[in-house]
Amino acid sequence: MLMNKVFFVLCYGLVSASFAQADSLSISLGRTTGDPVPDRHEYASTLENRMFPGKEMDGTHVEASYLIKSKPIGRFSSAWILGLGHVTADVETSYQGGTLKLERSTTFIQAGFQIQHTALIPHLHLGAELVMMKGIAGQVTLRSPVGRTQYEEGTNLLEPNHPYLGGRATYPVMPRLSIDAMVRFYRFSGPGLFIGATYDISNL
Amino acid sequence: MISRIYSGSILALAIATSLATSLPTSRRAFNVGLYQVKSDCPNAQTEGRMTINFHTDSPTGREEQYMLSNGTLFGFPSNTLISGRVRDSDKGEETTSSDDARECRAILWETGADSGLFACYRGEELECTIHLQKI
Repeated sequence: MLMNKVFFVLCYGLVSASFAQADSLSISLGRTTGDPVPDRHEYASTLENRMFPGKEMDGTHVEASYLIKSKPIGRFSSAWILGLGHVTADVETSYQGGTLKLERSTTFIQAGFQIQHTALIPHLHLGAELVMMKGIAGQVTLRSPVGRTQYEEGTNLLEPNHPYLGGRATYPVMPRLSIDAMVRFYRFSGPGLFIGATYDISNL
Repeated sequence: MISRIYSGSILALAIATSLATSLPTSRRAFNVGLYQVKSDCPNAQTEGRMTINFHTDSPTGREEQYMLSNGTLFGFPSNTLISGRVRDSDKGEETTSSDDARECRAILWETGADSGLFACYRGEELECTIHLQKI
């Protein structure tokens, strides 16, 4: 329930962000290992994985975010983050009969806060962000040569995940366009590395 | 304007999902009945039918035992299937059938499962798989 409360606070902050300056759209692509969007079964978790002992899920993560930027204070800028993303990952193990494979695809929303310093390193904006993810839909399939089972994930994804901390380096390549490199530290998986692009749009 | 719409949507979704997460959870197990079975276990029947019958509750109420009509024919190490909540939390529920030599594990996603895929391990090594589909 604590995670729900934190999520509410983030949402309230977003709703009350009446001080928005100029917003941005950001698209990110990264590799994910482990279980960045845990569900309540934890079948894909590195810690609880009894079907694939010693292995973890590996896949790709793509997301689009809307950044509601605040007025800069000195060299610091900040933004609320609202995002929608999708993770596809799988884990497999081979045996003499073939391959046992677990595939998972999950759609999630995320919300958080970002702060950046624009002058620590010339031409590079360095910052940190605290973001909370929440799965909203997905599908998981377990298959082997003798058959498969499939499940549509829904209610088991509804628990908000613990927030993750991320670091972001932004390099402006054009007046309104920048490229990003990010590292994120999830609770149930290893660090995730991401690249992305951000485009500044007028305040809508 | 668009940011307000986004924010409102997120808040509404948060409320709806928070309400949904307060719903009670149940133990997960196979439904009793007749199943079509496929197996690639060594020295086992590759295809056939078997029945899952409810046997007993555990004294702690955390597990249930089911009897398989002829599970050993397909590679199960015994005809006893243990199903239910393995840990105290809602997490990590699974079904196993085991003895000292081979342990078969399945992930059950639903409260009353009609299908499942067992991964049978001998020690740390995956030896074979068994698929059940209710008829």
